[in-house]
Amino acid sequence: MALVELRQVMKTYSDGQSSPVTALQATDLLVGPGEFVCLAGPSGAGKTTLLNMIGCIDRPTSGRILIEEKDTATLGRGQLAKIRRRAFGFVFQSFNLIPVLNAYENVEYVLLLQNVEADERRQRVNTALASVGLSRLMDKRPGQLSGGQQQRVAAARAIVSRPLVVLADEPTANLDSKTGEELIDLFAALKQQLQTTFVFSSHDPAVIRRAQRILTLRDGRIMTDERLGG
Amino acid sequence: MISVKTFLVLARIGFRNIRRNVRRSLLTILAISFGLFCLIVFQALKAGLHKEMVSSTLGLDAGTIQVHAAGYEANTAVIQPMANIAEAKRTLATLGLTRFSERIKSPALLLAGRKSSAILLAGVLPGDEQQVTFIGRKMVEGSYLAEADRLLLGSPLAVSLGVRSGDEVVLMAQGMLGRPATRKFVIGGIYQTDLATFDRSHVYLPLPAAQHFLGADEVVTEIALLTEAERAQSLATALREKLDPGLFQVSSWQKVAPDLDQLIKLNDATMGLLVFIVFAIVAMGITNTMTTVIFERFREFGILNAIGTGPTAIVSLVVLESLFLGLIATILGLLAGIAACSWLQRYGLDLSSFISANQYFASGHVLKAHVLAEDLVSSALVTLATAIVAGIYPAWKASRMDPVKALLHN
Repeated sequence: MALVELRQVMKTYSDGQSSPVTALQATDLLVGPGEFVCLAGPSGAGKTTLLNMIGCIDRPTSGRILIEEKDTATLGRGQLAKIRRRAFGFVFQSFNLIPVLNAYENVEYVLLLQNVEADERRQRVNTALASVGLSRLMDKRPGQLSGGQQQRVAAARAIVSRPLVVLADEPTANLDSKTGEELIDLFAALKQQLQTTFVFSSHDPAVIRRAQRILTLRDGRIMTDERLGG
Repeated sequence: MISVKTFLVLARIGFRNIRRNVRRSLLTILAISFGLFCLIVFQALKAGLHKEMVSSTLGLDAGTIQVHAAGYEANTAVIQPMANIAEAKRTLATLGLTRFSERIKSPALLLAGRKSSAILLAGVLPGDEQQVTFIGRKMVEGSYLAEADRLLLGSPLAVSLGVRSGDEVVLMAQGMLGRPATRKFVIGGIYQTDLATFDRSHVYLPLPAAQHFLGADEVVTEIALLTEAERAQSLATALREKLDPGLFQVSSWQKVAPDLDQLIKLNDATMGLLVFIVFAIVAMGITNTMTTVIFERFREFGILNAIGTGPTAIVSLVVLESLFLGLIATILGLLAGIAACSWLQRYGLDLSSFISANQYFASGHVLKAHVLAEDLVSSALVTLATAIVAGIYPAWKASRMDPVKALLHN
C-alpha cells in the first residue's frame, strides 16, 4: 500500500495580474513505506511545491492527493493540520524551530499537540534527542545552537511523533558540506532504525547520491524516477 | 478542541513571546495600565463626588427618606399635618430605623426693619435633628437652638437682612387654621453651609415654639430619616409596606431630590462613555501591537501551522499573548490606581475655585476619592476583556495564514 499517492496533481500560482505560473505539471507519484527518496533538480524545478503537496501544506489546483488511500481534497484547514500532525514530520531549510522553546520543548511540542501522556512523551523526546546526538544540549534554545545542531533538533522534532513520512525541504542548504552529509547520514540511520519513509529535496550531488530513489524534476515535471540499491 | 496540556504549552510560548520584544511589550502594557489607572481614578473621584454630594445635600435637610401625611404636596403654603405619629415611630423602631427627626414646616416671611425675605420655617427637636442634618455643626454665631424660642438662620440671610445673633426679627406665616401668625423672635444663632441658596431660605425654631407660633400644637408635618443612601430605596419600600398608605406617604431621597439623582445618573452615563472611549483606544493599541507581532512572526506561524498546529491552537496562542499583556497591565494599573486613590482619599483635590459659585448642590471644597470594590473588579475585568477581544482579530488572521506563503516569507 502506498503511503502517499498523487494522481494528476497540478499546481498553478496566480497573483491575479500576470499570467499564471505552473509550478507543478500534472504529476503521478507513489511513495511507499521505508523509502529514502530524494527530489533532485535545479532551483525552480518544483521540488518544494511537490513536497508541499505531499505534506498537505498546499492544495493542488487539480488532481488528487491520497494519504494512506484517503483523499484529502475535501478536508478543511483543521483536518489537514491533523493529517500533517499525525502523518508527517517536517524539516525545513531554515531549521524553523520555535525560538522561545528550548531543544527539548521544541521536540516535545508536536507530542503535546497529539496529547501523548507525560511519561511516554518524556521517553520519546529523550530517545529522539539521543538519536540525533543532542541529549546534552536539550535545554538550549535555538539561538544558542549552531545551524547543524538546530537542524538535528528539527530532525528529532520530525521523527518524535513516529510519522509515516519525514519531509525535508533542502535540509542541508544552510549547512556546510560536512555537516550536510552528516545530516543525511543521520536521516539514513533513522530510516533504518525507525523504518520511516524519508522524502527530501536537494540540488547537492553529494547529498542526492545517498538516496535510494531519486526523482529528478525540471520545469515542474518529474523527468526521471531512478531506484538505486541500498 | 485543544487539550489542557497543549493549552499550557501555548501559554508558555505566549508568555515567553512577550519577552521577545521587551520595549514593545512594555509600551503596550504601559498604555493599557494607563487606561486602567485613569478608569480607576475617575471612578473613585466620581464615587467620592457622589458620596460627598449625597451626604452634603441630604445632610442639609432632606435626609434619605421622608414620611409625610398621605397626599402630601411639597411647596404648598398649607400645613399638612400627619396623623398617628406614634404608629409611624413604632414602625420605624421595628425596622431598626432610629435616626429620624420630627418636623413642622411652613412657608413664612422674615422681616427685619424695612427688609424682608421669604423663607421656609422648620420647627425641629434639636437633639433628633442633629442625628439627621449637620446644620448644628455649621454654626458661625450664637448657639444651635439652645433656647426654647430663639430663631436660627443662615448667614447670607442675616447679611441681607442686616441682622446678627441677639437682634430681633419678625416672623409672619399663615397658621394652622389659615389665620395669620405674627411674632417677634430673637436670633439665637447663625449657621453657614456650603450652599448659600439653602442658607438664604431655611430658618429654624425649636419644635414646640414653631408649633405654638403656627397654632399647631402637637402637629408634625414631616419625619426625616437618615440611612445609608444606597439602601434608601429598599428601606423606603419596606417602610411603605408596613405603614398605612391611607395615612402616610413615604419617599426616598431620589424622589425628594430628583435633581441630585438625575445628576448622579448623568455622571454615571458620562463615565460610561468615557470608559468606552478610553478602552476603545486601548483596544486599538493592543490590536495594533498584536497585528505587528503577527506580521513579524508571519513565518513562525506558518511553521506552527505546517507542523500540525490547528487553527484553534493558533487562535489560542495569539489571544493568550494578548491576555498576558492585559494581565500584566491590569496588575500594574490596579496597583497604580489604588496608590493614587489612597492619596486622593487622604488628601483630595481642592476644587474651591470651581465650586464656590455652585447654587444647586452642597458639596465640600475638597474632592476626595472613594474606592468601591465593585469598581475595581469591574475595571479589571473590562481591561482583561478588552485585551482578549482586541487579540481576536489578529488571532483569526494568524489562524487563516497560508503556510506556503508563510514558509516563503523572510
